[in-house]
Amino acid sequence: MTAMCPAGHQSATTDYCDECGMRMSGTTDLGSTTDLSLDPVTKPTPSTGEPCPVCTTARVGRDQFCEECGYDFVARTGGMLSRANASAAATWEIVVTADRAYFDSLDAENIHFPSAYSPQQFTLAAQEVRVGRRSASRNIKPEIDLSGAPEDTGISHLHLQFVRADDGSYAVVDLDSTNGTTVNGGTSIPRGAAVALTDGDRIHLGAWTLITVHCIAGETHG
Amino acid sequence: VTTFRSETHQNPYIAVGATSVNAVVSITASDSLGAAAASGPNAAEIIIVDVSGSMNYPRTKIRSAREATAAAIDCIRDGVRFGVIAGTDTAQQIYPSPGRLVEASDATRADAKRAVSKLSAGGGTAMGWWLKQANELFRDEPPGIKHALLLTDGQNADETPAELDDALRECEGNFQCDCRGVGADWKPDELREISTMLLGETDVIREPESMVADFQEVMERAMGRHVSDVSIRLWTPVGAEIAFVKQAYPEIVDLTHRRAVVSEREGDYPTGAWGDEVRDYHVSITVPAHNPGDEMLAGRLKLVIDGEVAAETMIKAIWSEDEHLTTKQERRVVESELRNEFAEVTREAVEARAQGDTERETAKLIRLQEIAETLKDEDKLNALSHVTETDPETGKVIPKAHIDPADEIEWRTRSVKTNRTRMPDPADEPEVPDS
Repeated sequence: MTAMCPAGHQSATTDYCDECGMRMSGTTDLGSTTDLSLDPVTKPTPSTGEPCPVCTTARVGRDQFCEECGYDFVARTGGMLSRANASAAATWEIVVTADRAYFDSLDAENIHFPSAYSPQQFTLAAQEVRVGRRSASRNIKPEIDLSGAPEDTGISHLHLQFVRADDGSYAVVDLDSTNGTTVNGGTSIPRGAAVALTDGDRIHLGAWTLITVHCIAGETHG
Repeated sequence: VTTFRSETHQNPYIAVGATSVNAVVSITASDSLGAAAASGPNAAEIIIVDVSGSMNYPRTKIRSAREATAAAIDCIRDGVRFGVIAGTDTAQQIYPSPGRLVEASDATRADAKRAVSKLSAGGGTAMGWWLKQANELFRDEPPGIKHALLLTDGQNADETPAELDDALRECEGNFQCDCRGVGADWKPDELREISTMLLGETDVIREPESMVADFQEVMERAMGRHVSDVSIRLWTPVGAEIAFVKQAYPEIVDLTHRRAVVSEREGDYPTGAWGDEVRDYHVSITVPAHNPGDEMLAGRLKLVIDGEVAAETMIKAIWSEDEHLTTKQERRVVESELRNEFAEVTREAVEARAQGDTERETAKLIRLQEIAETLKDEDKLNALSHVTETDPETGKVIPKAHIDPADEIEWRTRSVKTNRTRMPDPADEPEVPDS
């Protein structure tokens, strides 16, 4: 699978061009089911005053970047609070949705894209949080259980794990899943490798499941 | 299973017209997922102990070296294949019988210690020979952790720099070597050259009596490594130039010229074997200038083990006209730059001292004091306090009239150590109180 960068290079990576490094257009709005206005974590807000998730400063108008810390409201990345401080008080949440574009790109046989899927939101709190599909016969009970209709059978019973680092941030580890895990597109992450996560990272697993990572800065005191 | 996490510390926003992108990438290796690494991969250890004539002065030196070597032998875990080389102007394998290594067990460790107890000092110093001998022994071993510990008190008097250089080239990539200098007669640069090329560390042992504890620490760390041959693979975009790639923590190691080309866009830098540890790498890349609002990937850094990617992180550049964004500095990057400057200025101060240029030496020392204070690095301040005093008139530091050679050698050796300090974050808000 290759993609075309703004400068016209064919790139095997889909986030940034693997030739010239330019950001690939459309990277931030891939996926029809992750419309930001429906995102349960970033609730719809008036056109002014949306708090910056990094430093809580109110957004000015439709400015792309936060006045205070430079957080990119459109790409939902960046922000310059020092990482240690930001993540010490940060809350890590994940939102699970169905991603039509991803499903279409896989061309998976015998699996149908769900006609309805309500996004599910989970807060990561434990040191290790496993994601998979419960199996009574094999006595597997992941902390985040994605079994139940509509069920993405491309997800392994124990598929991946979120692991908290000392600084409070989370990394994702593929638990030797059958079909692998990708982070922000690209190729499957190596099994057992911990891939550090940042706010806005998009994790794909199974045939149509998308996990979006949200790192929300805690209360800052004046 | 050892897992690796990588994290980029940088301010990706750079001013329009700017082309230099700096980032510090922290890499953490941990065994957090449970599977114990108790057995680990194959491991081989060679202890190289300097028994040249100078080890007799003071008399306690060779005795302490024998004790320390014995202590190091005690730290070799069961099953690790090991040997001991005694170095003079040649190299003599004193345990086991020459030409092979032997598996560590209570019995072999006791035999080795018996052989060490008979060591006496006499002869010259030719470190290249010692390393070549170790290299030959390691070559016959199966792949795995290969580590040597070199203990010396003197200068490499009995071979030319070119001979040492040749030996290092022969050994590079085959094993790792930590060096320890005893007393005040050795050259930090010489041992540093060895340990840098062989991905180890150089440190001082001030009192021969403290060797035992230090050796134990070195051995425990070497044997605690369970993933060998880890490389950093750096992708850079077309038109970019890599200004430097340096290990920034736990000590400064310049890897810039160690690049092995993987493809047109990618190169590998060696990092040796890893245990449970954290290392920082400072990467500086010069990229073509772009327009305001443009965002590009300046580098993609992967940790590669046996061709498999174990961790990956990105270094970005976003051009902006907003000075608010572009002038913010990332604490880790600032710290790394200051530490690099500290090592560089230390070299210049030593050079000025050797030339008798007191004025220049004083200027350098004042700068070093400033850097150490900014970094709040107690070790650096402490080392400086041994080679400087305060001028009562100006309140600034000046060179001490009489400097203990051992203090100077320690200051020079440790100038590249990079303690994690608590420099205030330049981009920091006021501290958030605990709630």
